[in-house]
Amino acid sequence: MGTSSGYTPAGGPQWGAAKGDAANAVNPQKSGSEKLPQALQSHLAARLGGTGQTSGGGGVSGAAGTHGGGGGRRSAGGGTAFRVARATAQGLGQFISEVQTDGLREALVSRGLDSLADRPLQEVIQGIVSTLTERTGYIEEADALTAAGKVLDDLRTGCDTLDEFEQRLDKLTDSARMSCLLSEFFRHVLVEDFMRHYWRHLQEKCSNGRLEELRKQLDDLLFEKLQFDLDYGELGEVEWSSDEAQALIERVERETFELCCEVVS
Amino acid sequence: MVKRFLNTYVIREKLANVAHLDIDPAVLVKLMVFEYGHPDAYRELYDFVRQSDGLPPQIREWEDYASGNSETAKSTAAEPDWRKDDTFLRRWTRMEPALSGHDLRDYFWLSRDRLDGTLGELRLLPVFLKRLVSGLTAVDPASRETAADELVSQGDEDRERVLAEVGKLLVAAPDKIEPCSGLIECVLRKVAGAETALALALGRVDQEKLAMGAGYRFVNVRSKGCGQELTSVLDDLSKSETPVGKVMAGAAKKRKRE
Repeated sequence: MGTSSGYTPAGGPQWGAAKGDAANAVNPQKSGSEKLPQALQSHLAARLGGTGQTSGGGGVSGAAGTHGGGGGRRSAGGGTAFRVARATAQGLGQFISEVQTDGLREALVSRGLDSLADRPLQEVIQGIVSTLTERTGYIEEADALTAAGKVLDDLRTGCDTLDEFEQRLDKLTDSARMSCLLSEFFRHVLVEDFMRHYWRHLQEKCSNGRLEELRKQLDDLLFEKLQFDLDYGELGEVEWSSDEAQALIERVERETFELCCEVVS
Repeated sequence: MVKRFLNTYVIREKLANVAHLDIDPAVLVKLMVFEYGHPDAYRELYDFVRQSDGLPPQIREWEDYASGNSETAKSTAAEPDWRKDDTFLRRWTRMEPALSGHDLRDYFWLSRDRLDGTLGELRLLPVFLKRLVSGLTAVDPASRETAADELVSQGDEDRERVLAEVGKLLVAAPDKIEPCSGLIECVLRKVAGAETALALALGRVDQEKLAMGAGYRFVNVRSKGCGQELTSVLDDLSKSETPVGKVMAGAAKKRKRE
């Protein structure tokens, strides 16, 4: 997994607990994946520097501060965990809005991707993803772009041509549907972020195959949880370059992370 | 030896294409390593596959043993000659991918030249039913929905065979959510026999290992109303101390509050 190896998470007591919980989640003698929700909650608590209490007024994104990544790569840090993800979410919203206004081919032209129009959809999506946010050099960028790629890949399921994909994007007309899409995006971000932080640590304890299983179990669990709970209702139109869009993205992020942490049994 | 292995692999892969079999090359290679490393063991595994319609529980036991999760396989590992030294079994079992949850019948069909023509005992599914089973257990939700829609119009016998196959996959690999989701899609579409197949599978599965995410789907099915047999199984599951039971209890409580 591209960014998973070669990255060492930050130290500190909260990270120690989070690493311990992640190790329990892959230990077959400690009920294995039953510990997964706990590991996720500890991870978010460490990542956001909060108390881990995510329901009620505290709010995940309300927690102050964050730990940057250790090791050789730069992490966003600076009290703005998942900032790169939020910027990418806004880029995704802007792209879809552009497709609805001008059409997919025009949206590709405006991003300098017109040469991809005749290529397979998977390549087109890779091209689109690379334009969703400015290159920051932060390691979180890889998580966010992978997550955006997965969301667009899910959307293209069953589409064979550019026109079919355009029709699929056209259906995402209201912000309630877009919010569900963004919630999916933040779920993928969370899973990528979690796996990246513990990949090397857990590699010493289990095989890569087991780690991929863990990724899938976590992804399945959060997917089912969000499907069960999400209900955005009608939210009206959103201008994706506005402050209103920022507020919506932050709300979706907060609610997604809160729901994900709620799984703890 | 290596050249013979590779030639055989290429021939089997081509044979699988011709026969329209959905084969995972990594699984084929792993089984061939077993076949070439310990022909007697391969024959024994074939017997397990035959007795279990493709999903031998022994594979799960070996995988648990190799990952240090269970002592079960160790006690049986001493019996046949080839298992006295279990180093090979451990190393082979740890190789990717894990085989539990894979229907191995097609792979053994491909190696029938090495199995002395006893394949009549191997009950193979027709290709069109296999396609439905694959659809119902696909990772992609749209494929599961399409397969469930298609199953509605199948004849009684074919429908029952498909549902039974998916149920067996659920029992063989409870930690994978797809077979469970596939059966639930069928229940929601009122496919005849789907409730019974899900209830039977949940009765036989190791509930401790069920994918936790399935709990949310169970609560949805329960709230939409289902027959007495499935209701009773789901109610028992939600009261259990299993991970999926705890998820169900929490989700049902939240739904009630709302």
